[in-house]
Amino acid sequence: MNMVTIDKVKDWLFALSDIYSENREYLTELDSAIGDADHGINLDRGFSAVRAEIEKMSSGGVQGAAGQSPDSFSSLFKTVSMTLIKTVGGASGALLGTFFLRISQAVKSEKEMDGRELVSLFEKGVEGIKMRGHAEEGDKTMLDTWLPALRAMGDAASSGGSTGEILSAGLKSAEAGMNATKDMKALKGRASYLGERSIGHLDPGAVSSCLMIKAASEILR
Amino acid sequence: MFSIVIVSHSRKLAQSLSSLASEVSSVKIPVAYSGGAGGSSDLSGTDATDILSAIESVYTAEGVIVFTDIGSSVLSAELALDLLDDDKKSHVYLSKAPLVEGVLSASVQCASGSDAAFALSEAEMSLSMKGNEYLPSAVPAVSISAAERTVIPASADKQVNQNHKKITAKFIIMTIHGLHARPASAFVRAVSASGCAVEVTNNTTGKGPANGKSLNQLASLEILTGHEISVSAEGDNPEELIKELSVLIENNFGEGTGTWGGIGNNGVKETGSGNSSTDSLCDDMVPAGKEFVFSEGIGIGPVYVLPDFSIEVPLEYTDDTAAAIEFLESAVLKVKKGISVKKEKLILNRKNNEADILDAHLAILGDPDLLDKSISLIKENKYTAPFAFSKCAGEIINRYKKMADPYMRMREADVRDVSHQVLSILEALTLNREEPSAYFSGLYDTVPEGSVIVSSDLTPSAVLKLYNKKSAGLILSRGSTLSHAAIIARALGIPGIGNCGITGDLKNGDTAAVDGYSGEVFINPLKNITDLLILKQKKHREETAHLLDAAGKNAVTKDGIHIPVYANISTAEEAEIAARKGADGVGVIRSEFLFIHSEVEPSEDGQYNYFHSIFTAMDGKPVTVRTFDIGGDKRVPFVGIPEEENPYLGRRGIRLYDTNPSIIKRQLRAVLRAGAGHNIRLMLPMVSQQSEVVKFRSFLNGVHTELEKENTPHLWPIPLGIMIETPSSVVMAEELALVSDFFSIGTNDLTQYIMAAERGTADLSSWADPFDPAVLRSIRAAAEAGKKNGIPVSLCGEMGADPDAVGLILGLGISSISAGPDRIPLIKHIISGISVMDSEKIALEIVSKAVDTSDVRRTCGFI
Repeated sequence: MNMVTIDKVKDWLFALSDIYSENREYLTELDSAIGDADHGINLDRGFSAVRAEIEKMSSGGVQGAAGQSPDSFSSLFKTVSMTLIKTVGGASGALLGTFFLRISQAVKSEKEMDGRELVSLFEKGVEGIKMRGHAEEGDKTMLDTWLPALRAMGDAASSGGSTGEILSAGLKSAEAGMNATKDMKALKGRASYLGERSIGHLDPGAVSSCLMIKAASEILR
Repeated sequence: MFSIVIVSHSRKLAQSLSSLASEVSSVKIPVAYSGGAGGSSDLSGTDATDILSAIESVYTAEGVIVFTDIGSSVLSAELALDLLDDDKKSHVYLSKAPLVEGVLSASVQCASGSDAAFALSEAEMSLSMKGNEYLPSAVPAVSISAAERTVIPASADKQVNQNHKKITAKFIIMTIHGLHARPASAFVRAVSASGCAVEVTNNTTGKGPANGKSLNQLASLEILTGHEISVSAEGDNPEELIKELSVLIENNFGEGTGTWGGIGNNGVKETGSGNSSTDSLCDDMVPAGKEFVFSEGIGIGPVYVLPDFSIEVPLEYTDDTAAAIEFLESAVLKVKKGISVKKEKLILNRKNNEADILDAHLAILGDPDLLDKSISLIKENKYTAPFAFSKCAGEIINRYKKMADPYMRMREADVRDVSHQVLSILEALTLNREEPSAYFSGLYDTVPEGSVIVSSDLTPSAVLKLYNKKSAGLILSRGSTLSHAAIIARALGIPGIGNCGITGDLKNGDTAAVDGYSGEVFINPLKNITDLLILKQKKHREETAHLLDAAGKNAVTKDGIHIPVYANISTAEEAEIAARKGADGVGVIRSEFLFIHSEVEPSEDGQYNYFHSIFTAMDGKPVTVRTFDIGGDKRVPFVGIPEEENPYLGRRGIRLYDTNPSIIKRQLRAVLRAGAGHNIRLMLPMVSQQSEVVKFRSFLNGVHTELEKENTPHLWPIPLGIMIETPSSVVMAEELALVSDFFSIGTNDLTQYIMAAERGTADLSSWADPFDPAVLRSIRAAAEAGKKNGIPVSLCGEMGADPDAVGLILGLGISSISAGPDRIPLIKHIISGISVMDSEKIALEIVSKAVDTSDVRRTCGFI
């Protein structure tokens, strides 16, 4: 099985910075339909800061935000978490911060892990989102991308799929889940203020999560 | 001592709230705040790491309570808790309380030395407390869990100590707004510091008991000025606490002097023996409230309860008994018909109780002791119909008066009511007699001079009559600040409180002190209260005195625009007052007052004298005469007005002139003659069509030609303007401006007609609000039309007397204001502090954006 190394994870995080920058307008547009029109802006700001933080750490000697050695999964994810909390603002900052914080607390490997561990880390992170946001599947949130994706990843992992296969299966379900948010009525977050009128729009959080999984399937395989 | 953390999306909000919290007490409270996101915290949002450092900065094992605002602040606070060290987590509590209320409540508890758990539950109660403030009918919100909580005195676990006991004391709260938040928190602090278990009851309302340590529970007692409270303290040395509370209450919790501070000494009652103390300031104090004051001032005097309807008629005889009987029968029939119609309407509106009362009225009219007996009295004694009827009615009334059952005694009022209706019709039908009947004026002859008058409502002429009786004050159960009676009372300087539902507390023989500044009525006050009231009046008069000094000069805005301020007057005496108060002229003479005050039409010479004395008093300053505005609530016997279902929408103002041409002609002749050599303008009331103005102008020309032919000296030409008070005059303002020399906006009637809400009806006051954007847009439209056609637009309604409205009025494009004479110094003072340019910006924003009165008041900066 292909191992997920710490460099690959850094590449993934850098890629996310590019992707959110490229999709900044798109995500913001989605958010302007049913939210407060800042999702793209917030993620772009957050992941640019993540990139800067990692580059600072890697350029030698400078300690990460968590004050730990930058060269372990745990410290890397904690740095990502703190940076996102500080810079994203709003609910998505707290939610993504929780996601990476839970991962940093759960990760056992130091510099490389297998696909199975990656899936279990995603599960821990998403559990954190669920707990923090008090949301369920079907509420028209990022969970509608993540939960089907995790089920597919779990199935692929238990039937012995490679990291690539696991992530591809996850992406397929993530995309389906993301698309399903279009017909849902928002029950959480600011979009829920719109009630029925939130129907007919993709949830921006579901879309940004799908972009995250898509990047993972391309880079972490 | 626990500490407090404030979390908000806005850093500024969090910061301000933090300083508000520290103002609650002089004790320093550990408060930290977190707000904003995006690293530098300049974006709106919340940042869990920033919250974490806030918590850590004030962390104590005694507890940290975190208050959050909306949405993600909760997520972020929870996340911050996750990030906190495990051993600290259990000492940090996230509160569900609304942010501002919760933080303030916790600050009080913190300063009082409460523990975090108690403070947390107190804070969370603040939500239901607030809910109750919006539902006055709700049961006072002492939740069960809170009521069951008892404060355990510090000594509870010690051996029972000799000093441990329970004592009760009574206090009267005299702070101006009762035991409101600031004094209440001082009270709570004292109680908490004492370690005693304290229960507080509001004896005046019977609410309670409440835990003396709980600000929220105290608030639920709704302790207002003048309320008596019982404080039971149990613990070691409870005397100490009672003494401390006495000092606090005596000193009115340190609230400013010049209020009721000086009488605090008497505000404390000690009990214990069971004998109630007589050391009270007055038998009762009824705080009607400032909003019920319709005329400012202080009035002290014996109470005189005005009988609602007098039915006394002088003894007169008639030879034509057949005509008298027919006369009486037709009048009774007419009243019966009127009552039946009203009754049907009430039934349609499902107001069955009111309809039942009208049924009783019909039964009274059908009583053989009334009509049949009256007829036989006419036949046998040759009495006139009014006298025969009033004699029989009087006998029935006396019978009711003697009844033991209070309910039956009250029926007297019903007999009076229907009899009055019948007599009114009889009176109207006999008016072509030479001598006016004594009936209309008789009612006020018996009023003792200098009384405080208690009545349901008063007509404008009644107020004038009471003024002649030197009445000290008016307490009305109906009537609002917009009623004509209120306007007259203000002009005459009689203090008055209206629509307050307190008239039932007052009876003949009492002495009442009316505080027409605060809206309080003191029943049988002791001398120290009356002394204070007189002092208050003196102080108030001194304050206005310096305004008066400045009022002699022109009122010029900050941006250099001269705004003339005119007076609304009815009499020459008022004109003299207006001149003394610095009026630049008269904006409106309510000429109908001469009519209302008499029962036959005043002669042309009589009217000439009236106008001449006003014009002379104003000494060359411009004076606008409004031709008589009869109709609506103003009726006079000699101007024929048909019976109307809706008199305000009937023949009123200019609409009466073509049916009463000789009356208007006499008035115009008097004005033109008296106006020779003066600066006089004419103004028409209730104009709704351009043709009315055109027609009137030609009529006016005719009067001029006639005077010219007679060689009678008179003023000519004379500018002719109109009142803008009907919706059609607003819509057609452009067209009306073409035929008018000026506009004057009568905001009282304009508000009534634009909002379709009758003036003087107190429960319509949320509609009859001149700050409604619909009214403001109308004013603006009229002002614009005037500007476009080069004619001046002034404003002469009560709105002009409202200090809050002055800036807005000028911003809307009004170039002069006319108000009650007593208001002129204040209005001039306000004008000198206003910039028309700034006001225009605000007014423009209001007319383009405001949807309701709260938008308007918010934009004006009042709320």
